[in-house]
Amino acid sequence: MGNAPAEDLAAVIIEPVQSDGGVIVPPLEFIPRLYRICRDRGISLVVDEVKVGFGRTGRFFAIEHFDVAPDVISMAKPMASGFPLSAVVGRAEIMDAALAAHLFTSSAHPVSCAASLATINVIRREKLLERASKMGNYILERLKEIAEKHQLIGDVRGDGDDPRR
Amino acid sequence: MILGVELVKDHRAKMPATFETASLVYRAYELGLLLTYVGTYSNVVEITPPLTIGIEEVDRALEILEKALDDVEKDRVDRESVRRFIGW
Repeated sequence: MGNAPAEDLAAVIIEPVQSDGGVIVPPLEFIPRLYRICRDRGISLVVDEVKVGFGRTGRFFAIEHFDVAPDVISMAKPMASGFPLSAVVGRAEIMDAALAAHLFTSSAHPVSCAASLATINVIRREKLLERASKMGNYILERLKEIAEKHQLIGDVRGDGDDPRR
Repeated sequence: MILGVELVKDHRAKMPATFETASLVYRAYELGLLLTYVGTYSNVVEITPPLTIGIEEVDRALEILEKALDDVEKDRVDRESVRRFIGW
């Protein structure tokens, strides 16, 4: 990766917290360093917020925990509280690179869009970002107590692990 | 609010406890708590509740999780029942 030329590498795709991979919380410096490598070589950084976006980590997007400006963000699952909706948001030069180059299955249905706006309003009104942070830390602390009593548990981790989150 | 609980056969080598994880998820389901597992070795319980979850529900869920853990550690979960669901 250190010597990767941009012409061989269009983009790097990451999840700020790897979810299906086993809830892997990256070390604090990992994403900022990856970002700098990409930026210096003209490689796009694509951030998958499908599972951890929309408030789960205490920020609206999990990538906001880092001083990083991704080129593309994907989002879906919690976006419309169960109504089918997904979105890819990115820089114009990427999104408009080809004419009609996408075929999203679940994009822009008006009912789903209304549900998404309502979801955003509830996140804001009920202060769900603060709540997610607080509850995440509480669950993590409780899990650590449980882990001390059970041999079977090798590790507990989560978004509360990171002091900046 | 994304938490992971990694189950291992022993603490030093951290060998993944894959069957035990399936047993834990199955036992928790029997006791009224829906969990799922993730990870390359299917040995990490993922906890991603809705952002609106209340503290009473969290406490109740953790109580069930601990009871299920106890049952797995003391081999009180029916292996045949777990095998029917493993890999889902």
